[in-house]
Amino acid sequence: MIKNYIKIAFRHLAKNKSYTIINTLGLGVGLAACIIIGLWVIYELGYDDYHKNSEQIYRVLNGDVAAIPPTLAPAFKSDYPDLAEEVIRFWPIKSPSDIVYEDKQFAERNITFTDPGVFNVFTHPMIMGDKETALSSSHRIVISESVAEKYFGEETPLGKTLNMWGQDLEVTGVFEDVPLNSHHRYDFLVPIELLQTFMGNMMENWTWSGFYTYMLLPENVHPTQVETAIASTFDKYTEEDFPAPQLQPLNDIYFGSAEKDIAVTGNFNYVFILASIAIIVLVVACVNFMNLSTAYSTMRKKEVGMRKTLGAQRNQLIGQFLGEAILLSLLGLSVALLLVEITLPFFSNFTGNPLTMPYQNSWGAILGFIGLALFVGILSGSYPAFFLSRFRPIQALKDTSKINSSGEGLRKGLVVFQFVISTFLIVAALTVYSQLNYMQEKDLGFSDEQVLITGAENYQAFKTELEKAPGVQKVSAAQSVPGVRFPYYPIRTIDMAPDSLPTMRTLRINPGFIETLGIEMVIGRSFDEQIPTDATQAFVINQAAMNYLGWDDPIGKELSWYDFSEDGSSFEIAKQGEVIGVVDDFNYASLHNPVEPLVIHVSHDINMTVIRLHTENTGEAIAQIKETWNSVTPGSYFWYYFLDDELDRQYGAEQKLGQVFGGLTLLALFIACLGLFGLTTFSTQQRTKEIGIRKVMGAGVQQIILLLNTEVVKMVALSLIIAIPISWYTMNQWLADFAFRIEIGPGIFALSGGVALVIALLTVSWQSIKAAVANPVDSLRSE
Amino acid sequence: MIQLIDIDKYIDKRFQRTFILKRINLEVKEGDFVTIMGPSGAGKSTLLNIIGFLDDASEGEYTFLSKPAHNLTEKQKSDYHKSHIGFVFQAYHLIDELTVYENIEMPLLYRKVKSKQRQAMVAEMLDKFNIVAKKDLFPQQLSGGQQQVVGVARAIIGSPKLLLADEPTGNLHSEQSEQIMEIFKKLNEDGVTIIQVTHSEKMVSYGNRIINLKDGVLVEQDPY
Repeated sequence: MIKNYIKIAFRHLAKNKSYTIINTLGLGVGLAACIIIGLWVIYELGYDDYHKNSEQIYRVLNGDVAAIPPTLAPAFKSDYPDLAEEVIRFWPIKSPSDIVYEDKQFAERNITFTDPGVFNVFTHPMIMGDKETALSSSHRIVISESVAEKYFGEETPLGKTLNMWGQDLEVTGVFEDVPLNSHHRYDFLVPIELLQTFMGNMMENWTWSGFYTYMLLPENVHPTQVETAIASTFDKYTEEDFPAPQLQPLNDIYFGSAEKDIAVTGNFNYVFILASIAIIVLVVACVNFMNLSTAYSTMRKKEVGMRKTLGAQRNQLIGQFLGEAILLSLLGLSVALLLVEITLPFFSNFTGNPLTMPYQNSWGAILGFIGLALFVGILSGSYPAFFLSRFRPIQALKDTSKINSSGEGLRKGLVVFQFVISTFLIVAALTVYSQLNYMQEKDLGFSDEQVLITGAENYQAFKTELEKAPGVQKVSAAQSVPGVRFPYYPIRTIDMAPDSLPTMRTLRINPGFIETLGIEMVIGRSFDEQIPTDATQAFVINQAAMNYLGWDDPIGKELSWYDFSEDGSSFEIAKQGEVIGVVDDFNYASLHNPVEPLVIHVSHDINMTVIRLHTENTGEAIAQIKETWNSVTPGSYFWYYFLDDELDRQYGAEQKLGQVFGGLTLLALFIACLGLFGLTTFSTQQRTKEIGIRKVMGAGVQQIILLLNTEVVKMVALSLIIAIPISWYTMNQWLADFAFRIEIGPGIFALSGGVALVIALLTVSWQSIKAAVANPVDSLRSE
Repeated sequence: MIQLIDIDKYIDKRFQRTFILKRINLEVKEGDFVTIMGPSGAGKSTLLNIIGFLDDASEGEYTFLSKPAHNLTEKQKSDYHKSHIGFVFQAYHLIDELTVYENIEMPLLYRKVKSKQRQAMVAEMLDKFNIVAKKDLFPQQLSGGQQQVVGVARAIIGSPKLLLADEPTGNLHSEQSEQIMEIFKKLNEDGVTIIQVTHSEKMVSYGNRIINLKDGVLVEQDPY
């Protein structure tokens, strides 16, 4: 019996080639999209899962701030030894530092100071060295496998000496590279004891929030217990008011970004959105299948009638047609696997996630894929099976040639449904693109083009040399630049209550910075190198700060700015002075956020040189700058980036979303068109005789095309009416994430509708035109 | 074997009831070869379909093999189709995707006959109707007469007690028609009860009973 079913299924598929190709291709593309997005989602959700104890590892947050004082870990460990198996700290170096081995020298970014117990908390298998003692004294360093190869090649790294910050460190271990789906990245681990020798007293400072603290809890300890214990530790050792501590599970870190976080973070919403769209694309493919199989059911009518007459029961017929659907979806699966094989490398490359098909742990994956195909087969095959097996034999046998009008309304409904989804996706993709475009094109309040950022060692000499270079327009320096979060520092004005000490984002610069970036002064003046007091007792604020402080006329107003005291144990007034000017609210952070109040003052505490280049010969200018750098700071590594590139990178997540969105939209549209194409092929075949008669009666080609296309126009119009409100609402929700955003105008809807309509018409016109220009004699004779 | 008492078949449309069959009383005994005749639209096919459980009577009693048969479930109907009744149609209704061999085999699949036995039975049919050479051809590759031979072979492979034929020779020319009717005659001699619907006077002579229908009413039985 089954053999008979399979035989008839294959012969039916072989006979109706366009039907088979459309269905297999549609299901294949849908499944491929689903599999790829599925792999990506699994990868995203699997961040940090590779640690053996990932369930018991927590990060300590102060309120929602990820960076906390260095003092907590040792104090907690000695006061509550039973509550945590291990407590360790991370202090990642934020800017590149040079690591030297004999004649090799590289500026390295992934250097982290940590406690010796790090390997008890996190799972980083050691290739060489003993994980217990590797970091147990100050002048040691543990490196990753790839770094070991970079510095030592074939040599044994153990016992070699690396130089960092002028200190000779002995390599005592090599660990396997940190997997990419990890929220932290490090290639070098250095004992925190070494940091002690540089920082001294600061390490006892309860207000220096710069350390990331992780705990491995014993199985019987509940996180809330530990939270309470941390709170009492803070109360015991410090007067400072800290927000309530929280334990953040390790697996939540990737999606739950915290303030002052350095972790790699993902956006759970985007994972959710893309997963939903992938499923929608698959549903569209399934709908296609249902639609086509019910349309083509006329061809199977006689078979159903005959089988019933010969004693087939309905459930046997349902089984047969369901089996055919599953067969088709298995065919689709093989197309999908082929497509995945071809496209996965591009997608991996593009998302930066190293995705691979999980063929290694083969059985699970193969069963999973077959399960997916079965699911799709049953999902899309159940309605057609029900529909086909319902035919009464006597009717099925009587008019085999008659148009199968039953279910036509439903078929049209399904086409409308597909176009609702397609239109929705087009609107969504266009909105994402427009918002991205808006963010990249928006006037940020300064000019970010042709601005090169590099290090600021030996700055004065560097600047003097640079100003002579022909490719360079202006040179200045700052502690930070737009695109990097500016830190908060306490400030006070005379109007404030004596015990309040609000914080404000602070930018420390050298004179000329405002001019180099082209930031506009709204009131007053900028810093002037010629006026000595500008460096010691002058502030520039932005408009947001002016509003925040409630000043109508800020010029001359007094302001105090606080920094850590010498021993690092508390804050003290570091600068007192007058406001000399107000700058325009330039967007120094990403456009997700509104512009926060900002105070700017002159400082020697600078990290970055800001260079504005002339527009032509950028390459030459970079070469000049590099040469200058090497001459003024010999032996130091030259790094640089362009400010506009870095600012664009802030929208990387949106960019990727936009591109994946665009891709999926095209896929959904493609599948919907396949379906529409199949249906028109079928319905024009059915109407061949009608068209022939109409032509004999004198209808022209145009009239026939119009007749055949009106239907499609109506369906697309209906789907537009349904899709517009849904997409308008949804995309406004998405835009709510942005402080600076576009409005969704009628233009986007008009464009989306136009695109959907044009594509639909192109799809059906080929068939309509073919039918319309056919010689009526042929079509009438064949009947 | 078959007893119809006051069988009505009607369609209700708005306030009007249109009768297709009205007060049909008919008895068919085992071994009969009945021919139903009458003009177009007289209700011949409907009567045949009711007898073959492809259609339900609106009213009346139907006894099949001494069991009441006017209220059967789908399951019971398909059981009768499987074991007692064979059908032959004017348009042959062979399944285009199956070969001659597979078409003839199909009823056996629904009756769950074992593979070996199936082969033997199909081979016997192919032999009986002299179509062994055509067994791997598809229906479109056969002439109308040959298709109908396959249709008959398919109908009787399950050795039904009753063979229902709706204009079996309607699409065939006379030589082919005679071939089919000879087959029917032989089957009838072997004990199969046959009811056929036909227009053709010539085909009547093969049967032993004639029923004339006009406008849904049985007007004449056994005019000879």
